[in-house]
Amino acid sequence: MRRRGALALALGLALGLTAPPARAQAPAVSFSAQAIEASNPKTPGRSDIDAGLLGELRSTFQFTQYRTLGTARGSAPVGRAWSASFAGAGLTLEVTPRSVEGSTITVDARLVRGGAPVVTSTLRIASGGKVLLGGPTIAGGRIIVVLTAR
Amino acid sequence: MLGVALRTLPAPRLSPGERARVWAAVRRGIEARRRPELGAFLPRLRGLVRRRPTLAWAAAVAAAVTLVLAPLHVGRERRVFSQAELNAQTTVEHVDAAPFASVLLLETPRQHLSIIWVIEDLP
Repeated sequence: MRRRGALALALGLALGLTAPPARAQAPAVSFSAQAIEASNPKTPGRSDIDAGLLGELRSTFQFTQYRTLGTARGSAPVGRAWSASFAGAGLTLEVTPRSVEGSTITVDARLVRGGAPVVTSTLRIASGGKVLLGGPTIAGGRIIVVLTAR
Repeated sequence: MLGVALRTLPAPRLSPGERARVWAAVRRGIEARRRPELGAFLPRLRGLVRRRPTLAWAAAVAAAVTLVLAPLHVGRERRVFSQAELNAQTTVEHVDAAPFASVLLLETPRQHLSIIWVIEDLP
């Protein structure tokens, strides 16, 4: 009987050690959208964006200056839209999380100008991963939106 | 006869210094006995296990849990990915551009950032 008790204890310990962590219930997806103005001014000023991102952008594009316009943050449950307006640029980013599977978030993202979508996309974002949507013309140059979901 | 002879011998009187040395030696001896020795631990444990065999079984279970299941558990822990790895796992599944726009899909070389680049043909 003692051995059976000890065996039960050992199994209990083993299950406790190897059981996966409890899943959170239908979490809302948090978004962050950083708007960056990419331009080629005659006298380029200092770029004020993250150095790592700046290096990536410089290795991809030929703009001489990257300036932060602002960062919008928010969250939305699956199936509900979250939007961020970049007033100076006349653009709105609309993001709708479609599903969350493990650490992968599927979202529909679109850039809208004057009510009409400029680009519509479906993205699979690893939680904490980044996607850039950019190109539309704004007053000072081009806009780049760095979208992060987690 | 010898016992009687010894009993009649006067006990030597110790000077205060000698007495202190004797007592210090006695105290050292007591302390040394009290101090646990690692060499004595295993035989004691063996004796305990012989008297109570269930304890040996419990120790074996504890060792199995620690050596087999704990590494398995650690292996199941989630890995922390770098930003570049997270970006590399991020994919663009589908893109539609407005009729007046074209789209380029780019990826940066180091951080594997996916870029959806829209070129508008504005009037």
